[in-house]
Amino acid sequence: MKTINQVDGFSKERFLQVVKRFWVLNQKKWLIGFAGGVGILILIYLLNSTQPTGYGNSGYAVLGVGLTLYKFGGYFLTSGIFNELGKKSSASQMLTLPASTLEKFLAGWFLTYFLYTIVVMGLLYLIGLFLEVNPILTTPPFSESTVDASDFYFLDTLLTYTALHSVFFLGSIYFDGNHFLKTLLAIVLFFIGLGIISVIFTILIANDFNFSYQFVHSPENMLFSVVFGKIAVAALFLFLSYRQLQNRQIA
Amino acid sequence: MIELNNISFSFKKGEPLFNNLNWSLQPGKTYGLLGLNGAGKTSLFNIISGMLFPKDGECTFDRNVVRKRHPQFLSELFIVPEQFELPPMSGDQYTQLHAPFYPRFDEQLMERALSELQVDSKKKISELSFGQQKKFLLSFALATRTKLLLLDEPTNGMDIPSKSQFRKLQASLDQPDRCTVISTHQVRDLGSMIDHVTILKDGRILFNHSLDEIFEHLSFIKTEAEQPGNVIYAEEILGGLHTIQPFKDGARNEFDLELLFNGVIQQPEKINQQFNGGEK
Repeated sequence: MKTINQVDGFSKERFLQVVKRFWVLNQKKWLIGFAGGVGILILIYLLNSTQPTGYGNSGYAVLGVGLTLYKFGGYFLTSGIFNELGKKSSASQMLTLPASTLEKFLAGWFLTYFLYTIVVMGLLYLIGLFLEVNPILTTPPFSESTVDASDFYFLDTLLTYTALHSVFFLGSIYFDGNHFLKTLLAIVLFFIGLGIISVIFTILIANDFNFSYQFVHSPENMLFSVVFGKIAVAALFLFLSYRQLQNRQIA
Repeated sequence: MIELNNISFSFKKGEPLFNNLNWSLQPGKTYGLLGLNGAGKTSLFNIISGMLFPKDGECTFDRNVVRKRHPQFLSELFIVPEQFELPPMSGDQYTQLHAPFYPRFDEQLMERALSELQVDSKKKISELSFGQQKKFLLSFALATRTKLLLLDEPTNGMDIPSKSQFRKLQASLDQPDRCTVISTHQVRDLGSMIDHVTILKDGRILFNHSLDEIFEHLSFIKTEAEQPGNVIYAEEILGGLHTIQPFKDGARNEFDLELLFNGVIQQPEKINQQFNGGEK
């Protein structure tokens, strides 16, 4: 059996072995998830193709649902990637696994974000080719306005996944159980809190309201804010996830 | 090898478990870490393995701080916790996935251990009984040939023949560089496996001596019912008493780890006094 040469600093061999371990531990859940997702898409296609609205709409519906499943399926699978840490009986397996915190962190991110996105997007691309409708991932024969809107929708989906994936990634390390539900609840509570603060803020400085509204809603600013904001959220939560993994102790 | 320097630790909102604890572990030795339930044995293991961080003080392995969990340290450590949950895969698959992380992993030893402990590595580990799972993990632990091996209550859940088989297996291994620490409160099970006794009580090391030192300073003598004058500690046995006495040259020494453990828990000052030349 080939053993890994233990070196200082980042080791590609260790990283790949951790990826392999994560994959083997989660493959059943992931394959069931993928099969379920494909099943849902086939069902949507069949239901839509029997409607009088035509073939093109089936493709749109399938890809639209596909992108939604990409996001929520990803959040769910990401939530479970470090679930060993949540239990006293299994935490030692992960905490004492001879790889650095960075290698474990990157291995989890690589599988749940990078590889997952490539596989699911590749699958959606193939489905789009098969359905001969692919407004999201290819250059389609549509009017310019539709292409722009589709491109933005795709980019927004990817950015939203990038941002929220990092939050669920932190949740998988931070919480001891029910990672998905607890993270979801934390996000909901955060937005409720943010909403309340916004309302109070708006009431308190009502005179500046128009300025803020105009600033946010100018098209260039909005696009910039959305892209920058989501990337910033992802970077922040990935940093917090790394620190949390570094400081994680047995449950 | 492992140095614990002035370790203080407490759980959140709890009483301090360790306060300025010092302990040094040397290679080539097998330590028996004994203590009553709740003495802090498992927490001490978690601190040594970098899974719990002390509030104050430092634990180092070859001068590297363990809480940093460097891969070089982790590849020289294997811990078998008392309660564990192994992933849902076959024993062979577990070995394929985890063995590459340990540079001196000994496949032949793994096969030998599995065979002697009668564990089927083709079966899914999570579907085996707890005792079988423990035997699998112990086999893997021995085969890693790490410099530091921590075994927390290793014989819990094992049947009597397996306990005996495990003792024989452990004793048969030539491990001059390995430091093994066995934590248990079932002292009878492991008396023949250790060469150093450390007794923990209320987060303090109450007793810490090698067997050689123990035999130089104490005698374990079975006597008639009447207690001789200089008995440090005695327990009733069938037909008399089993006693701990100051070393008596020429006396028949019938060492009993459980007796020593009970003696230290009951009379720590009197017993430790013997190691300080009989002075308080």
